[in-house]
Amino acid sequence: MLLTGMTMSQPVVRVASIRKTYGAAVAVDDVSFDVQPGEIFGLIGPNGAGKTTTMECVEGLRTCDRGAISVLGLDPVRSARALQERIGVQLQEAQLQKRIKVREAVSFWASLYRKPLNGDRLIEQLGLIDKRNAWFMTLSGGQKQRLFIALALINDPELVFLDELTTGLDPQARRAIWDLVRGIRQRGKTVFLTTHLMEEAERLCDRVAIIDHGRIVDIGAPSALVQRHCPEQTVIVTTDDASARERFQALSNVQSVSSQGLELTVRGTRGDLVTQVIQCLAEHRIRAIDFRTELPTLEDVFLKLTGHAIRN
Amino acid sequence: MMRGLWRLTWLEIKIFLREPLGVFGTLLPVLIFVVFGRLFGRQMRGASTGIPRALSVDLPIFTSLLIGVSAVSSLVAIIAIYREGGILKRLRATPIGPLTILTAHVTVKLLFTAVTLAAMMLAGRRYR
Repeated sequence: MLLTGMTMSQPVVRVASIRKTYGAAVAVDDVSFDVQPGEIFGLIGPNGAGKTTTMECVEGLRTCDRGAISVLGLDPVRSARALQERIGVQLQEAQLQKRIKVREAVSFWASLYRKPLNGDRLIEQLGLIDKRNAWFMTLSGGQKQRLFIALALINDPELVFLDELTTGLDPQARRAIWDLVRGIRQRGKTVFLTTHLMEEAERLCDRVAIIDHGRIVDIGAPSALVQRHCPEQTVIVTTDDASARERFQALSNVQSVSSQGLELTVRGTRGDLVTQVIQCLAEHRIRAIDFRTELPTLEDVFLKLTGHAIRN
Repeated sequence: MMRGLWRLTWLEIKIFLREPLGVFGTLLPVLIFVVFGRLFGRQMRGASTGIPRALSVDLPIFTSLLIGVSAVSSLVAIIAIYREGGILKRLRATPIGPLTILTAHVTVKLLFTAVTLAAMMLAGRRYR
């Protein structure tokens, strides 16, 4: 498997060919990856791809059937106790007691650990100060997730697990959560997250592993993956010049030109495509009403690697 | 060993009292006992003992029913709700042990059963 050639210090998480089956169904098959210290690492894929199973094996909440996992140099199942003090966990779709207050939850969690952070300060940092006496059931989705982040951070962990953190949140709450996650990294912690949102992975993660049907398809920085698998670029020109289409087609970097009304979509290889199109416009005095470029995204990479869209 | 036991027990007591059925559910058996006592208590005195039936027969039956309901239905329901809601799973990722959680809930149930019983006995004094 190709790993981007970064400095390979001792990884925080090392997963080596793990496999997990539920009856006849293979949830995770031959999955391997490393998480480096101080990075935000994302496991991305559609629902049911094996993200949560993989993460829960790494957290020590499940045992895998085959393969080896090491977290901070320890076995997550055998050294569960020792690891619990050093990792923070946010689970997918977890709940708390309906009528527990925010402050009570944070201070109870704090009491479970040897060296907890100041709970009140954490509540303040996560913007829950107005809600500290509110019952869990009265919180909004975003507030609940912020509380779960607070609980995941209360023991000042070295490694934080975030499983589908922003699922079901509105875009504004999602952005606020992204900032919080970046803040966690800035405190020098390592973040391991899962998401089925490609935009989230692209904006947040330093490196991602794409997983589909329980197998890792590829691993790398989002931009590197895009460049590796989708090297093409698209220029969209709106023009009423009838000759434009043929002229574009003659360019060396252009692979295809399609039109829809006045809009011409020019696809080609990255590099000189934009320059060539601009030169062509200038040379033949083609009047462009609009001009924009489009770069492929992780979503395109996913589509290309797996042959299906992430949302089905 | 049981880190967090007392804190969790105290927390669950507070949470239980916030439930709509918390205080009401604790006092309801007392209410039923008093109403039944009032309706039938005075007529039926045991021939040999002279103790009202409400105290000699009804209270023990009530008591066993109450303990049964707490143990079999309430406790199981709470654990089921906690499991279904992912609360237990979330707690599994913390240093708290499953035995601690169970002990806390049993303690809370016992405590509120005891409160009901004590209230019932106080109410029964009037039939003495």
